[in-house]
Amino acid sequence: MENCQSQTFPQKESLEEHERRPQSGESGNARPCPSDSQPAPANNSHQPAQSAVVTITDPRGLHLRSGRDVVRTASRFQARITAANLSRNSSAVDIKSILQLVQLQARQGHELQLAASGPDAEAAIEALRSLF
Amino acid sequence: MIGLVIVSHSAKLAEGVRELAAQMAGDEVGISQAGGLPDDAQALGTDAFKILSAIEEVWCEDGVLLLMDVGSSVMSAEIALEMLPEQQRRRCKLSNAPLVEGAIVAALHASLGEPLQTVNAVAEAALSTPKLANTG
Repeated sequence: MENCQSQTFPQKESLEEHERRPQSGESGNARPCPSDSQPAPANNSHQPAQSAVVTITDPRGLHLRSGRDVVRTASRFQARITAANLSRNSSAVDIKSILQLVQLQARQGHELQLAASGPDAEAAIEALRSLF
Repeated sequence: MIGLVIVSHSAKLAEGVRELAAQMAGDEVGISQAGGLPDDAQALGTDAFKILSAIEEVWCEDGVLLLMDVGSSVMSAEIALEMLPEQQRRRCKLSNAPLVEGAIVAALHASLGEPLQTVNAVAEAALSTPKLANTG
């Protein structure tokens, strides 16, 4: 049961960290911003963090099948990857979990903030952005 | 890659859940179903022999995860496991996950090549993942 809980709740804390980074670095523009990536230090304790805002284009919103592709892609990366639905003001969920991903209840036009941290965070965000 | 067995009192429900799971898994994961009673496809109930056949249909060395609906589905699945040779039985697992959510999650994670215990753990996490969280 520890697993169950760790899947659902612990991401709230780390989201706050992710959210602060882009906002503090850029005058209020939360758009995708590869330039705000910090140079990756070799030190594991300062792993690179990346974020991007994507807009749902599918008229049916983010559904099970498109969610499946997101989870499959996200699972290829070591990075911890979360998404928050900015249009619903939701907290961030772990997008390697299909059930958490569909909790975002993302409709067409909704904006999701993706945030990744870990050694391959940049590549993860790049790979995921086109899936929405 | 593990196999999945969908157990339900209703043959239609088992087929529908299998269809949903198959869409999440793609073609690589073996998913079988055991729904309803053997003699009358319309009759609701679960049957250990039907479940046994379903396990054998998707059997693989990596293991088989069984997802049940409620009540006697679990008992019938237990009986089916008891009928298996020890060698196979210890690679089968009854999941505590809710049927629909569990099947979706298990199918997806099975297709990622995750081992039996891991797939079951993420499927059972559905128990603490409400549909309506984060909205409102």
